[in-house]
Amino acid sequence: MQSVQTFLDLMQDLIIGVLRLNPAVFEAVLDSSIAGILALIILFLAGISDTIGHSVVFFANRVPRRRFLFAIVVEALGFVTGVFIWAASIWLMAGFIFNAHQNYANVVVTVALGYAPLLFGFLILLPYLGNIIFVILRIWVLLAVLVAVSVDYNFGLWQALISSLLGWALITFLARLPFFRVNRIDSFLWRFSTGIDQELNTQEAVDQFMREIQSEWASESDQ
Amino acid sequence: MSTLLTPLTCLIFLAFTLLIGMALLAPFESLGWWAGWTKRDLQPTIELQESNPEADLPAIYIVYLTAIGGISADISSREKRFLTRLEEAYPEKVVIIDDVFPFSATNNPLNGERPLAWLWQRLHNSRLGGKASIFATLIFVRNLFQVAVSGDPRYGPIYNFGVARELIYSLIRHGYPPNSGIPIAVMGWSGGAQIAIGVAPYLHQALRAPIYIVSIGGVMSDDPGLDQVQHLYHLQSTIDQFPRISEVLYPGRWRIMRHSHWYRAENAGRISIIDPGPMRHTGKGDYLDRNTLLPNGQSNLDRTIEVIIAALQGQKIPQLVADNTPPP
Repeated sequence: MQSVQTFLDLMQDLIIGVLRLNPAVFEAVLDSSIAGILALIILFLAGISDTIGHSVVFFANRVPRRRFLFAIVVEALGFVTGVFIWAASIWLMAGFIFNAHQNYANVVVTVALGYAPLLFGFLILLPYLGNIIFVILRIWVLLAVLVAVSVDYNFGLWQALISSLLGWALITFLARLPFFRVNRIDSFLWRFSTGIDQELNTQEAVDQFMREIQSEWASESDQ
Repeated sequence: MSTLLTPLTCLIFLAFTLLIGMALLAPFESLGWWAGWTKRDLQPTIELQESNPEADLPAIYIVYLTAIGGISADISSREKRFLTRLEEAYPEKVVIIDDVFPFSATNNPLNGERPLAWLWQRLHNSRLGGKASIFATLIFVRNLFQVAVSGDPRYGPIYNFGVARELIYSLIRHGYPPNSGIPIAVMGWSGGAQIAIGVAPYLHQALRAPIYIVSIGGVMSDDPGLDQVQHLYHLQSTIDQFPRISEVLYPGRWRIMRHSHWYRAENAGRISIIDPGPMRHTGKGDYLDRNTLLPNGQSNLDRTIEVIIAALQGQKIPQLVADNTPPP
């Protein structure tokens, strides 16, 4: 029981430290194996929370209730994978541009921890305010990841910024190459998680439904 | 001080949590309905009938959407009086519809089929009984969040489609002939005006009708629905500050956003902002008050009706001239 309490206390300290952009927290996580596991748990929970924040897409596409939780978890795992890829690109860029080297696992752990602000991702659901919260949380995550990278490599702000942004640009560039077929992977993940062929946004879903009703009415009036 | 602070802090925290909880849950009524998670059906159950050209058809259908104080489509007696007087004064045959509750995508009143129906009814009763409490404002807050849902591009299409669907049912029940080209004016008071512009594209597409919007002190976003509105008549008194909230909250209403839906409509001459005279947003001296008189001796209610009729008839809005003004 006490170990659970210690675990939760440690988690709370980590989260608060990241939210305050405290570099000492990122340093501590590099020295502790349990903190590394905690960072990954935080990343997964942040992924769940952020996916809930964006869950309107599941409703818009009429994902059945029994499939909803499964879809949230699969999308959250996809989110976690995305963070692993970003950490890899940062790791590559830091080595390539600044000739700075660090264990990849350490980069993953600290970058994962930098996603703690997205634990509030469910607030993106809020009507009107959610759009603003989305932007604030993304900026917060970027700042936390910059702190993480600067701690990992003992970088200044500009070096951390260049490594992170170029890493992100590299992923964006690679994702557009037909070789990687990222769109197909996205579509597969969507179909796997929701059981629905095509992903539509809210407006597209409603417009499609309107067209169906209108053609139904048109065929009724023809008869 | 600290003994006082703790309960006070707790109260503030509880109120804040309640507000956030209500806001978070606000979109789920319409989302759940759309996704088929509720018992309410999505497929239309009406049959559209062709119009009879020989029938004595109305010149216009006016659909009234109440303000955020309502708990159902059963509007207040002063709103009923306003609609009756408007119908009587309208120079042509008009059908006025007021049986759709605009703050539910499924026309489900707050005292309808809901787990907390008893609570909403109690809050409403306490308000009617003159026991205005802070809890009664929960009705305003709940409906205000639905207005925010309607104006949010992520949820708006589903919410507005739901309300539009109910309006289409109601219009058909009231004899509206689809494809007849008879204009439909959707008239919303306060938050009802946002819903009015939200539903406009769906009414237009489904019934192939020209849609006019009448906003009475409306709080409106830069809704894409404006693109399919024939004309928006926005009654905004100089002493009514509520509509200005939306001018601040929604970036599309900011003057610098010249390419927003709002300003595109305004530049195309499809928005008329009309000052009906000094009227408050709600309560004594508001747009529907028959006891408060304007400088020319006309009641607020009569003036509002006069302005709406002139606007919908495409006439020049009569000037508000004080009684003591010497004749020209």
